[in-house]
Amino acid sequence: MTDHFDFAIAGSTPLCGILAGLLAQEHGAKVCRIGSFIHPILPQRGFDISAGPLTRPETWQLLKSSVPETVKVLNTIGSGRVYERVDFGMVALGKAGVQALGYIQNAAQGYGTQVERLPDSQSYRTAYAFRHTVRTLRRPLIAALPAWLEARGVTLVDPKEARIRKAQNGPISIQWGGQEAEIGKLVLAGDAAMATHGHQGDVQAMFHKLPMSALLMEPTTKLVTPVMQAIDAGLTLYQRSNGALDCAGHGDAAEVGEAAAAYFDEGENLRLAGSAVFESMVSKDGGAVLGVKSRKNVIYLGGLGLTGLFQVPAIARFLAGKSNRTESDYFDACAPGKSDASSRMNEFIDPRLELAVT
Amino acid sequence: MKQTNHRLKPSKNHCFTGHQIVRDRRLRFTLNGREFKAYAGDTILTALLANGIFSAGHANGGAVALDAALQLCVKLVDAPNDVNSALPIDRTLAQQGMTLEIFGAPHTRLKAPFGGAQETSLKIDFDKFPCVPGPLHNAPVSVREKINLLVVGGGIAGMTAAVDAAEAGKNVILLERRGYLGGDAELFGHADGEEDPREVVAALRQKIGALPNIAVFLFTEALSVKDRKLMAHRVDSVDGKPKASLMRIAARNIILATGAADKIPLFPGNRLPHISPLTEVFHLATAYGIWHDGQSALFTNTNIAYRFAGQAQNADATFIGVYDARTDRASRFIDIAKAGGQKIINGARVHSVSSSKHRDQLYIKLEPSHSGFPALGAVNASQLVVNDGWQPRLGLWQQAGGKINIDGTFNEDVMPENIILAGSCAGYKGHIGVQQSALAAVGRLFLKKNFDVSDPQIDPQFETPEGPQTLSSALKENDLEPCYTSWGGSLVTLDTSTRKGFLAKLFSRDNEADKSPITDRALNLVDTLILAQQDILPSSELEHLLKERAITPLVFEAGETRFRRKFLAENLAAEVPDYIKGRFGKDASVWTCSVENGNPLQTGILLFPNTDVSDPLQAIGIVVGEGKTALINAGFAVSGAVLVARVNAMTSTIKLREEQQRN
Repeated sequence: MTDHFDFAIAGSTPLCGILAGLLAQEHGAKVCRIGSFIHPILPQRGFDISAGPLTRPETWQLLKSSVPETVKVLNTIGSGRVYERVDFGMVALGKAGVQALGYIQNAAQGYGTQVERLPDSQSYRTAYAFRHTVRTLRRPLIAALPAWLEARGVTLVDPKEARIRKAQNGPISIQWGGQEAEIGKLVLAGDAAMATHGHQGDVQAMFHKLPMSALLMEPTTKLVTPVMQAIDAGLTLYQRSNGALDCAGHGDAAEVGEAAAAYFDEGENLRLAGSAVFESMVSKDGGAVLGVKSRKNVIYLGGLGLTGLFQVPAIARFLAGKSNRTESDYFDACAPGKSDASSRMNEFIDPRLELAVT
Repeated sequence: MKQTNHRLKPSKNHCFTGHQIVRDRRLRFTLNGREFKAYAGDTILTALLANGIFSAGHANGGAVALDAALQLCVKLVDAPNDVNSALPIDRTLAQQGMTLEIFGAPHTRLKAPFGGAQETSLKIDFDKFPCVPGPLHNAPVSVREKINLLVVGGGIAGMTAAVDAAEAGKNVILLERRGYLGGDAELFGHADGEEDPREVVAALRQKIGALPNIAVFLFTEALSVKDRKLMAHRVDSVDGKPKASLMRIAARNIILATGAADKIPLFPGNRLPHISPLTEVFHLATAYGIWHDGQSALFTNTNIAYRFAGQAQNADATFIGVYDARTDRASRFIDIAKAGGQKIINGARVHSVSSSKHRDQLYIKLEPSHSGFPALGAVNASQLVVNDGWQPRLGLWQQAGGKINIDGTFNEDVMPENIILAGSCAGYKGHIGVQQSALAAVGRLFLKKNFDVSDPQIDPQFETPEGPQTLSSALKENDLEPCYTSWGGSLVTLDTSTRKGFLAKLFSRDNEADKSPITDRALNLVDTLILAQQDILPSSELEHLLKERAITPLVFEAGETRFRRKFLAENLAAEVPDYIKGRFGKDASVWTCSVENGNPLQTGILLFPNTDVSDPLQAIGIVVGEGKTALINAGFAVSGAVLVARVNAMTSTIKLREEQQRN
C-alpha cells in the first residue's frame, strides 16, 4: 500500500496522463493520477496539436525539441497509432488576426516549421498551412492510456472516490477506496482540476473564467486542412475522416456554432450532433501558467493551449527539477505572479476574448 | 372493407370516421409539381398518405416510411427559401390551390399518376439532405408570451390540468401538436368503472371552450425548454395562407403532459414504407379515416393491440395475423379479437422486413420469440402495424434538467423547479391515474402540497402487462435493411455497417478508430437510451450522453453570417499589439522602413543585425503594422541603419527611415 506520492496529477486530459507516466518512468517518482478521461463519444473539449497561435519564438523553440520527444513517447502507448501527421491550418477573418498570423508563421518558420500561404477564400481573409504537424487521436489514446500508466506504476484514482485534504500550511493527503496517502506536490493540470482543487483567490488572480463550448457537428464539407484554428475567433475545428466536425471555442453553443459556420461557404450549413458547455480558464496574459501561488505544494498548470501535450516531456523535467537552462528560463517565465513585461508569457489573445474579459 | 384511396368510408360500425376531415369539401394542392387531392381538414401529411405516398425517400441504404416523426417540412414555392417559410407537413392544413415544394431538399419532381407507375415516394435523399426539425429552431422568435401555467400536451392529463388551474383563476396556455385536443385516450378504452374516454374528452373540451383564461394553441409543437422558457413552433392560417411562427413562452410553472410514444421494435427494416406504429395508425384512422389498401399484419407485445384489432374488425379490416412476442398472455381484448375470428400467433416476433417482389408489399420474416416455439416462416402484407409498448415522452423533461433512468422512465431524485410531469409520461396508465396525476401536478405547483395519486390497474393475472422491447436475432446478420433506434427524425441505426460492402469496410479510413458512424449523428433521447441499453454507447456515461448528445440538432447557416459581419466591422489592429510590446526592450521604437533589396515586407518578419545571425531569439526587431514599419531595439534604432529581414532561407535588407513613436 502506498502511503506517499511524490506527485498527484489531477486532471482529465491525455496531457495529465502522459505527465504522470513520464514522472514515474523517466524521473522515478511515485505518482498517482486523479481523473477520468472524457469519453470520446462526448464532444471533445480540447485537442492536442504540435502547433498553435503562438507568437513567441521561445515557445516554438521549446516545441522544436519537445515535439519529437513527445512523439517517441506516443509511440509507446497502445499500438503506437495514437497520433497522426496532418496539415494544420490557421486562418484569420479580422485585421488583428491577420496581423497575428504574420507573427505566428514567421516565428514558426524561424524554428524550422514548414508554413505555406493558402489560397484566399470567401470564408476568411488569410490562411496558412503548418505542414506535418502532429495531432493526437484522442479515442485510441484514451483507450490505451490506463494500461500504459499502470505499466509504469502510476496509481489511478477515480475522482469520484478521491478526497483531497490540504492542511493549513501543511501537507496534502488523499483518501480513496479505503486507502490514504500523503502527496508531495499536487499538480492541478487543466481547467477542471484548477477549478475543483485550486485556491479560489489564486485562480482568480491568474485566470479569467469564461464559458467554453465543445460542439460536434454532423459530417459536412471538407475544410481546407483537416485541423484548423480560426485564431481571431478562438475557435478550433477538427474534421474527422468522415467529415464530422469537432469544434471548441469560447462562448455558448449558439455563439460557437455561429462562429464555426462563418468559416464555411454559403450553403454548407452545419448541423449540431453534440454540445457541451464548461468553464475554461484563460490566463490573464494569454500565456502558459506553471508554478505555485499561495501554497508551495500546489502547482498550477494551465493556459497551455493546443500544444500543451507536446510540451509534457519538458514540463516533467521541470517538475522533477531536471530542466536544462532553456527550459528553466521558459517555465520560470510561466510562474504565477510574474509582472515584468519583458518576461511575461505574452501570447496572442483573440480579440473576442479580450472584449469578454475587459 | 369499404375503402377508397387509402381511406375508410365512415360508418356507424367503427370509430375510424375521420373526424377531422370534411368529406364534402374537396380540395387540391400541388407538391413538387404533382397535384394531390385532399379534404378540408387534411394536413399535408394525411393528404399525401391518402394519395398513396408512403415513402419519404431513402437513408442508410434503405427506403424510409413517410410519417409525422420525420418532421418533414414544405414551403410555398413563392415563399423565401429560409426557415421562416418551413411548414411541417403534419401540422400544416392542406388548402385549395397551394403550390408547395419540399423544404431543405432539392426539388424532385413527382411523377404524375398516368402514363406510368404511380409515384409512391417523395424521393428525398436523407443521407445528403437531413430535412429534420433543427431548422425550426433557427427561426426568429415572433411571438413572446408570459404565463402563470404552461401545459404541454392536449391529452386527458393536459386538458385536466389546464381546466383545474383555470378554474382556480390561473391563466393557462395549453399547447398541442395535433389539430385537436384529446390525445390517444380513445385507443386505450376504459376498464369497468371508468368513464368512457370519449366522454371525458368531450367534457373537458367543453370546459376549455368555456374558460376564457385558457389559451389553446393547436398544431403547436414544443421544441425546447430552458430555465422555464419554452420555444414552440406553431402553424396557423393567416389570410387563408399557412403561417409558421416561433413562440417563446416564459412560464412560472410548467406541466409536461407529453404522453407516451410507441416504442420501436428492433428489427432490420423497422422503418420501411408501410410499417407504422400502432398509435399513429389509430390516430390517422380515427382523425382522417386513413387505412392502407390490402392486407395488414400486426405485431405486438401489449394487450391494447388486440383492442385495436377488434376495432379494425368492426371496419372489416381483419389482420392476416396478430403476432405477439409474449407467450402466456391474457386480456379481455384477446378474447374479443379471437371471437371475431382474428388469427393470433403467440411467441412470435419479427425477424426482419424487406420489400417484397410484389409491388408495395412487405416481406415479413418471423421468428420465435422464445426458445421451444416453432419456426414461423414469412408472410407478405401491404402494411405492418407494430406495437412494442410505450415510452414516456421525456425529451423536454430532460432538457429542463430532469434525470432519466436507462429504462426510459424519469428519475424522481432530480426534479426541475416548478416543472412537473403528469399523465402517461409520468408513468400513469389508467384514466383515473392520468387525471389524478394532472390534478396532483396543479396542486403541487400552486398549493405546494403533495397529493396521492391512485392508478388502479386490472390484475396482471387477467391483463398481462406489456412485454419488454423486442430485439430481433437478425441484428447480427449482414446485408439486411437498416434497424432504426427510434421513430424520430434523427434516422440513427443500430449498425449501419451492415450496409457497407467488404471493400468499403476495408478501405474505410477512420482515424479515430471508431467504426460506428452513429457517433457523428444527432441523437434524440430514445436513440441514446436504446444505444446505451444495447451497449453500443457506454451506459456508464448515460447522464453525460443525455446532456451532451441527446440535443436539439440546431442548424448553423454558413456564409455571410452575423458573426462574420460583426467581426469584420469591429476588428481593429494596433500597430504594435500587446504581445509584441516589450519583446525588444522597453525603449524599442517604431520606424518606417523600406526594402533595399529582396521581397516586400510582411507583418511578423524578424529583423537581424546582419546575415550571420539567424536565431529568432536574437532578432533585434520585427516588422509591424502593414509591413511598412518595424519595431526596433533601441540599440539598433538609427536612421539609415541597414538590417536583415529573414524569411526561411531568403533574406532581404531593409533601411530604417524615420522614427514614428515610442513603444
